[in-house]
Amino acid sequence: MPFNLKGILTGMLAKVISATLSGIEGVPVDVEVDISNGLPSFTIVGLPDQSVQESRERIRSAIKNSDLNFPVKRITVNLAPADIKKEGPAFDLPIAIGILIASEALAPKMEEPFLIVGELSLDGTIRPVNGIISIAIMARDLKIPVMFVPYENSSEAALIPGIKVYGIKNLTDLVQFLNGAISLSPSEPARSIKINEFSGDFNEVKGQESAKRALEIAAAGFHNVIMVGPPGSGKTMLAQRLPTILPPLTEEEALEVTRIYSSAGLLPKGGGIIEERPFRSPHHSISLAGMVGGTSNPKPGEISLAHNGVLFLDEFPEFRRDVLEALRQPMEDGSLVISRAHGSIRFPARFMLVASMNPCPCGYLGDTKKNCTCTQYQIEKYFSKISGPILDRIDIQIEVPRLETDTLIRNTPGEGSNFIRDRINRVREFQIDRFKDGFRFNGLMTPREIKKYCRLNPPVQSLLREIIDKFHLSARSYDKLLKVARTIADLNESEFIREEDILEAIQYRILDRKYWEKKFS
Amino acid sequence: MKNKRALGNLGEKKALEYLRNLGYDILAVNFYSQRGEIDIIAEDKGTLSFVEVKTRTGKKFGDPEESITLKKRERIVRTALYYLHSRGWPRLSCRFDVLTVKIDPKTGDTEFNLTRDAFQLEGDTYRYVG
Repeated sequence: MPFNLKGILTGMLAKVISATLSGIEGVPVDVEVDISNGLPSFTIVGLPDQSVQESRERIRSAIKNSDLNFPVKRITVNLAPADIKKEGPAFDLPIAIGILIASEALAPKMEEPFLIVGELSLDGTIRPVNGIISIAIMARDLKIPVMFVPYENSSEAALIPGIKVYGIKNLTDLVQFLNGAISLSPSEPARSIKINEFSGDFNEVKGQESAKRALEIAAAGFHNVIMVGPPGSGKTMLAQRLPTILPPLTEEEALEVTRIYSSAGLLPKGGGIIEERPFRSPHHSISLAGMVGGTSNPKPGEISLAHNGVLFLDEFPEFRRDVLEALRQPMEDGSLVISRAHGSIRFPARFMLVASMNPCPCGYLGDTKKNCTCTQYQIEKYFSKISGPILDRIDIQIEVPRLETDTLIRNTPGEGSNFIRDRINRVREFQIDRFKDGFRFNGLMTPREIKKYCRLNPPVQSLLREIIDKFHLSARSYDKLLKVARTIADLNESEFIREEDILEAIQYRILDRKYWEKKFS
Repeated sequence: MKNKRALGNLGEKKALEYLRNLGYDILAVNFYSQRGEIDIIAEDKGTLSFVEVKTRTGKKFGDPEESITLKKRERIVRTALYYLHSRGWPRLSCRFDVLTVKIDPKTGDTEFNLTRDAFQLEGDTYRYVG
């Protein structure tokens, strides 16, 4: 073990366990405080950044304002290991406690090792910090049984079973508790919280039955989708309603999502566990750092915030080329690695991509009512913005045409989200059974799994052979076809993939021939 | 100019009296080094205290505490290091105090304001461990 687990006290040296974040992972940090005679000074070493240096003033004031003595001595604080960059104000509290222990103002009565994180304000109040759930997971893995965290974070840390979490409101409380003067009770786990603002229902979308069916398949099997259609045909409306039919998060998935939001500081006040799939729709002006995560100060980007949920990119070709290309690696691996001088950081990014675009720059190519005014060159340029490798990774391609006047005026509501969701939930259960794993979907199958789970009867096989010949399908397209067919078969509650499943699936693979054929075949 | 020196001497005399009454054990007065001067060096309950005395007659030039500039602090710290060196680095904790003496020129009334631990070393420029 790289550090001594016990908050030890030897003479004028104190050691307190704390932690920092590296991406969304918690990393243990030993806070060592040495107090010696000499000219009074207060130095922090161990690769602290500016925000940690500033904590000296907060700590000094907080200790004084809590009616405790700030020692007039030479104080040296070391944050070990010294090769990880330490950021943020979460070390305020452990350093303050270390100083009090080293100056013998505090002698912890605790037998068990404990971990402390928290930001101090000048009056000694403890303010919440980011990423507490990741730190709690780290504490559990390192078998640290007790955690002292800011009161507002405590229910979030308590989500992790096996550790006792105490929520602390101010410095005085913690000092008195450690001295055995007062008792506190451990915090209770957090309630669930909502992150998606939009709520609608699929029955509000008029017509577009085939698009709805395609989105149902996509949601059931976690397949990437691209929708092509003229302005106003309902692409955005359809996408926004996707969260209402997505299957619920499993416990492991919910924890992953909560970790990411906690690290990014996006959990609402009081914290909690996120139990709905995220839906992110960044604007097309987004920067590369905003999409994949900051580089100098790695924070999760949109693709990580969409982890286990939907990343909706409206006006797909309008996104910057480098932003779109950056999606390739995460779409393949389900995670993103950001490399820096001090090692690399992995962010989970297993999202379902839902893209929408017009069929040409003016939007009316092939429209029944309006004429397209684009030149052939403009159209080709527009489509060439979506590169072959990106398109290859999208399982389902659909057209969302202009609504016919009759459908528009008729007032028959479509099928409600709750009916669709029931079917999807059933398919989700099939998949959990199939993969014996709370994370997997048909859309995420590896080639080996495709072979195992997409077995075909001889008549279906011959049909497929015919299709491959006719459409000149590549090996990758063939795999995609089988994955989508598997989900369709699941929706039809069929154990085997039947002819009709294949025939439906092939419909979702033909758009690229219509629009991209010239360039990519 | 002469007046100013006289005022300073008067203030320091009163300051010594005041510190003695507080129980400070005076070790040196007007300790000079090449790098500067410390008005009073005293021991206060086991802590070595370097006292800077500031005397003022009115509020015209602001509070006396304000006149301890960064440069002045540096001089005091360097002189303190020299003092510690000349005494063979005693194993004591140290402190910098500022004592302001306000003298009313008409009545001669004096008012003291002692700030213990008025400032500390910034960063790790001075590496002295007692």
